[in-house]
Amino acid sequence: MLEVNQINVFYGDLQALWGVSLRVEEGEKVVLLGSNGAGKTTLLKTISGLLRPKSGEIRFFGERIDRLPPYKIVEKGISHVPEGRRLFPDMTVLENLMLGAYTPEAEKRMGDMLERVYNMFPILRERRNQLAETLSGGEQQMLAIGRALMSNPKLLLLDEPSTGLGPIPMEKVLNVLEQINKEGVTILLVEQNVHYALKLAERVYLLENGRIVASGSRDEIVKDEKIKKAYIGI
Amino acid sequence: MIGGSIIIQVLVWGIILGCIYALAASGFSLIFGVTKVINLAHGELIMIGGYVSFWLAVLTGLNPYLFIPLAVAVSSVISIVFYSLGFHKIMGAEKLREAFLAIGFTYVIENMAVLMWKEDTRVVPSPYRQQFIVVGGFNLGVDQLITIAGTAIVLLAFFFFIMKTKWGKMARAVSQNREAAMMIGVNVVRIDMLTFAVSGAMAGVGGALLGVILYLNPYMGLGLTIMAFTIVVFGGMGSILGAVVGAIILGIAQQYAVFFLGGEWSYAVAFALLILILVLRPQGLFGGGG
Repeated sequence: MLEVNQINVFYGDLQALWGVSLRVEEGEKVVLLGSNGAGKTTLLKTISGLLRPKSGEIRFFGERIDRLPPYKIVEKGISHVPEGRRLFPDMTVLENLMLGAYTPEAEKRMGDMLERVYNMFPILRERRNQLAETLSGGEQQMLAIGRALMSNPKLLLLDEPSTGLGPIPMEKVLNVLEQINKEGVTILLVEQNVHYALKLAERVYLLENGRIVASGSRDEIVKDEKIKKAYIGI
Repeated sequence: MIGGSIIIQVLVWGIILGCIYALAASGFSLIFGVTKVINLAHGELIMIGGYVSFWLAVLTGLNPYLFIPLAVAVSSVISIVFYSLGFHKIMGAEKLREAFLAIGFTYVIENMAVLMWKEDTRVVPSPYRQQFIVVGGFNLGVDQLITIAGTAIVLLAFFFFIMKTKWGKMARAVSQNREAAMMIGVNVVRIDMLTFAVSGAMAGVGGALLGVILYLNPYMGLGLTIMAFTIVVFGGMGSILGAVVGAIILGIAQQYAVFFLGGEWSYAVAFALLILILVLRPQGLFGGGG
């Protein structure tokens, strides 16, 4: 469903991604693993149209999206949960959620989507009239995911949801991601926490210094000596 | 001897000046909040709004208040042009470019106004000029009452738009986190343009009201821009409430300064208050954080 072909991405003169290619099939749970500064966030931002690749192309269901503005990419069915959650702090939980559904298609189904998100995260229903900034870290992460789901995406991009979360809220987030995936949403998760990443992943890409250095099924990656040394620490 | 009644009369003048400032500053603040552009050409939109209403009222002999919608339309369209042909192309680049672009717009609009209406000072002819209503023992000009009521209506409509409507909420989302707004599908270019349109509309109302109760000349825009900027810093960058409260405070302060100290003190007192607030509370009256 998503094909990234040989993209090169720059910040000014600085090259951040070097010929990166990646595929995500419909229904999959794919994890992009890599350390800080490897280019994971850059890759997600390029997919969602916030950055333009200098060369290469990105296709979604066969259609090129790498020249589209971000809101068009959301309309096509890709939603992005940013690193650090990036909620709208001075707005209520409900307002944050509704903002996720102001694309023309999603707006028609806003009631259903809201119900779906509330059923997934009952705490958000309870806190719907609270300002987003008053939520706990875990609740904020749920709101960020809920907000991204409001546009009814086919592909959900998540950037380091574990940042600032303890193990228990993070387990909850992983459970929710499994559930979302079962409901038919494809997941591309970016993580540097290998433990969480491997819990969810069916397939893994490894990004280092802006290049994909390894990829394979979860089991292949777990057995890979190089990866064991660098990431799993055994 | 200065009677208590004259003190209150000056207060009313201050509030009226504050109304014009509030219309100018809330638009200036909205543009800064959403797009981070410091629109130094904003005052020109007020001047143009005033002249549109002056021109049409003189041309047709009709009540100038009838032409407020046209003043709104013209200022709003020019504001959209500022955005589309100018700020949109250079947004995110260094602030200095925005400043020079705005100065360019300022001169273009000023010269256009001089060509069309000459350099003379003008007053929009109002049929209510000599009419007063006595409120609690004070004479209030009908035009002054219209200014206060008109400003209140426009600001209430503006708050409703920003707080309650879908488009207002999207504008707030962009102001709170532009990138996150893009990620969830907000068309930020359209929101930026809307922001300029709304700010221009409020400037148009401000100009049409100002033209009646004060006077117009083609070079007044820059002074209004500077006051709007001062008020927004005074009230807290990005806070619309701060802009409105700051406008009223500085309007009143300026009128008292003029009354007690003389006309040349008007700006001196406004900037003294700005310096005072910057020392005591650098984020401004209603500014959040540091």
